[in-house]
Amino acid sequence: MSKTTSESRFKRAGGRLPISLTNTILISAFLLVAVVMVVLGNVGTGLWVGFLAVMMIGVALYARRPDSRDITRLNAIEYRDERDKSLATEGFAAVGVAALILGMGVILTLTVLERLSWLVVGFYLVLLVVWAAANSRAVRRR
Amino acid sequence: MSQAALATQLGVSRQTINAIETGRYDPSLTLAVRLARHFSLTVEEVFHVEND
Repeated sequence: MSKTTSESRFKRAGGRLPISLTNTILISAFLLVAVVMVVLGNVGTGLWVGFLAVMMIGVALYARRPDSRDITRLNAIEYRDERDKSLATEGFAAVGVAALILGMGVILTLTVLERLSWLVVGFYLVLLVVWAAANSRAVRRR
Repeated sequence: MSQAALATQLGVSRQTINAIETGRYDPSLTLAVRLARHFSLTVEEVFHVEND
């Protein structure tokens, strides 16, 4: 019954917010960038980013409908239960593998072209650290 | 009882109930126990595991 704790935590977080915590953070970041862009005088970009944030809210709320499809919830990061989370883990695992392989390909290509930047290397190192941390967490939990 | 009604009572999606019924998804022990308790049955009476 070790899943009870994470399950109840998941339900509490989902119960407080009209959309998932992940979407709340993502949308807040978009809205913050929109405001910053407008303040900096780039009104067009600010409005565009703000529009994207509003669209993300709409997608999240659409996925939260009681009769929404599971694929809709997965794509909108609005998980309802343990099966949704399990499917999402599977999907993101594939994303992780693709990111690691493609990232290495990009680094090797840029190295050959002598255009390697610290931004790309840093991005890949962070990806590796996240992978190691995720593995460590998974091993400790099971 | 419909899948949707059972899903609502257990706090899961209708697709999850359908996937369990059709054998495409094995629920967690927690959900299996909740399902069994909902029907006043034991887990063994709800889920059948084939012997090797």
